[in-house]
Amino acid sequence: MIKLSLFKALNNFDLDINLELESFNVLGVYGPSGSGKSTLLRCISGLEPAKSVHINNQPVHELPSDKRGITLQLQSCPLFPHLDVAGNLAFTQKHCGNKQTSLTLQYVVKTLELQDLLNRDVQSLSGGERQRVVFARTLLAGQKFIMLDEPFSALDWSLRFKTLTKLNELAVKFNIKFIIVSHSLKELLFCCDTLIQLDKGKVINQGASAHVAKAIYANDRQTPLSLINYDVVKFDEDYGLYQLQLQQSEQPLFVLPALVDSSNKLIIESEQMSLSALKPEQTTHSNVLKSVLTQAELINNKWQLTLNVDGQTLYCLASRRVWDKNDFKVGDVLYTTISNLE
Amino acid sequence: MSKLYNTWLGYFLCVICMFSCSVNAKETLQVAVASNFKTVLQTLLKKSPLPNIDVKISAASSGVLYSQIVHGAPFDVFLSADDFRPKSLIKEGYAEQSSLITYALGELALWQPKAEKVNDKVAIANPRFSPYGRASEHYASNHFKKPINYVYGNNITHAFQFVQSGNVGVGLVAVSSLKAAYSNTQDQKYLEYTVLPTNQYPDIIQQGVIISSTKKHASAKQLMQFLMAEATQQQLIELGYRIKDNNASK
Amino acid sequence: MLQSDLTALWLTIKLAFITAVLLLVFCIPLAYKLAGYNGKFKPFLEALIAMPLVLPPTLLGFYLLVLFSPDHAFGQFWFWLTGTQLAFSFQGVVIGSLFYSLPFVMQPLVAGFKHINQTYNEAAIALGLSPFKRFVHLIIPLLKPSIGSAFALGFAHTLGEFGLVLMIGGNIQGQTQVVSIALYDHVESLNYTAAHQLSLILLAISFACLVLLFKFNKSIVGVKQ
Repeated sequence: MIKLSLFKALNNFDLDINLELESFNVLGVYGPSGSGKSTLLRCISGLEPAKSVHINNQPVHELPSDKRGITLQLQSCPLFPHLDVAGNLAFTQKHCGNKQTSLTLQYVVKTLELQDLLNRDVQSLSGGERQRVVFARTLLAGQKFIMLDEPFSALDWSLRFKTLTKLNELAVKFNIKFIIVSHSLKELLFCCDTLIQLDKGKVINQGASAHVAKAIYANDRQTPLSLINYDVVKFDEDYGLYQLQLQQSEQPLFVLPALVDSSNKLIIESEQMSLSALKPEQTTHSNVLKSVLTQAELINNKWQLTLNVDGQTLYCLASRRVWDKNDFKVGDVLYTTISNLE
Repeated sequence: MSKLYNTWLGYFLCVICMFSCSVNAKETLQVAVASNFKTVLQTLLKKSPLPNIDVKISAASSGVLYSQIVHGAPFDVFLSADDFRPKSLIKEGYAEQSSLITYALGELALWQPKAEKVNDKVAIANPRFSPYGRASEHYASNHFKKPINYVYGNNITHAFQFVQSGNVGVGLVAVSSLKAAYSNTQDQKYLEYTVLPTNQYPDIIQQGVIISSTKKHASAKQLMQFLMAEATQQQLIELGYRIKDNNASK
Repeated sequence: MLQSDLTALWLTIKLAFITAVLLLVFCIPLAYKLAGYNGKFKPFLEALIAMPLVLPPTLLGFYLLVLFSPDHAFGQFWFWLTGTQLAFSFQGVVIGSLFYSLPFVMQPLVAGFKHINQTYNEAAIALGLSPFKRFVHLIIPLLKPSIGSAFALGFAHTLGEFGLVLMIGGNIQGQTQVVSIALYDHVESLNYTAAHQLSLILLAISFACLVLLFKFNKSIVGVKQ
């Protein structure tokens, strides 16, 4: 559904893309700064010329930007200073033609919780507020193909995850395809179903996010991230925590409300995890998961461990000293304590 | 006296000496000249340069020069286009009474370079502050059909430029301007003028004076004498001025 | 004396206003083109527009005097068109002022267009707005502060015009005797009292005009340019 072929000589390398991706809802484009991610989006949008661009099997590379049925939100996307927030939102709604979606201003404002910002001057907004308004404005352009370049970098993680969850909901509900560029794998892992990795102008990895993420950890020697899917059991009024249950499992987690949203996904960083072969003598409310060590690799003087928790995968690092001291082996049952959840 | 042995002061004095002992050992005289007389003065001095005097000319309107002198400008001699300003300077103590000379009398002409009528305007110098302008207005009001559509140049040369550029068909201009233009270009149009009878307009008395604060009395006096000398005065007649002594009809 | 000064004041304000408005009309499309143009002639064009900044006004005036003359093509053309002469007329002084104040109006406009192009225009294209919508709903509203600045500068600069009007004006009350000329007259004829009075009035009016203009300018959009 998206076919892209482009060649563009840039300063340090050439942007050389031949991409064919079948259906996706949210596509992530990952790569370090300067790898050509923004240029890629600009070529699809029409701000820069490209040899051939096909979307839904329609050639669009000859068309001007406003006729391609695509909206691109630039990284620097400024709000228009001569209008207030409400005016900016109304701007795309009023002046962008050929709308494909039925998104209304009221709906977008409600979904992204922008009611309090509507009458504000754009200069008075904080960075995070600004990014949410910009996103709303982009949505109101009404196209079914929306590209976002580092859209939520100024949001704190809690708000970011929340907004990304809403993005996913909108994608499904209104049949919008999103392409998101980011150099944060955490962000992309959370919200994208498909991922491509760009390096020096070439696509070096593409496919389902989990797979590509794993390849990135391996090749780039990065600290891996773990994605956990859960169901909500209940909200404990007394402790102010949500009791969650891992999907396909009965193991519980007790998590602060700020980390819980309708995506039912949780990202856990390696630093949050600590391992023990013995079940720690603690109460059940301490976020300890029983897991099986399925893989161990020594990368960069650290052991990268893959753990299976009732069908879901956790990644974690262990120093050589800890490894040697504890004498872990593949197949061992290990107890993983996850901190910073409650 | 011990200060003289200070190295820097010594160097400084050496430099000063060097400059004052310049190659030609001439004295510099700062002369403030009304704009319309500047080229005339330069012509006169080129023909007969004054020995030992390097004349530096500053030209502007008489009014501007007057203001500058009153505010301490370091001029040695002031050659005005009128008699009012030199007399004012003397009255206010800025100039020496004894040095007052009438170095020339302005001469007016009616100039109409083109035979066909261009428009009904007449170019004159502004009578509010130009003696040429006052004289021109006096003549025009007695001789031209009213109402007269004046176009005012801010000095007599400016009025000349209006006619010269073709923007005005007729003007009352200085004879000296016409003579100078003709000698530069040999263009016939600068001969199409009538010198006005001198008894039909008030004298345009151009006076000069030595500034009291001058340190170069001798040289200043020399310049004044040069201007009033027979040979110089004769030259002025050739250049389009009248001179005081020959004016028998007034 | 006072009546002529009032006439001169009114004439000066009229001249400044008409010049500023005419320059805006002429310069807005020109600035738009120039801001978007990046060809090899750009430095020459920019230098040409900036020339009146560096040329002495008297030089400008002198060449205009030649240009306006019925002896030359332009003067003849004007006479054919209107039956009047440009020298010593208000229209002539307006034309001179257009040259004189051109860079002061052009430069804020070009800067404004450049800033808009760099910052907002591309974002609007990426959002999918058509060129027409962009021009009408984005560029023109965002240009308002630049238009305000350009007008203020053109107006203020023309208020103080002297050398050029001196050369081509002919000092005619009600037509070409602007305040700077009237002041010059007072000084030349040693009428310092009148000169002081007129100066103070001009200073006060100029200052008030500028305060108003900058206040107006700020209230349109509080944009850091």
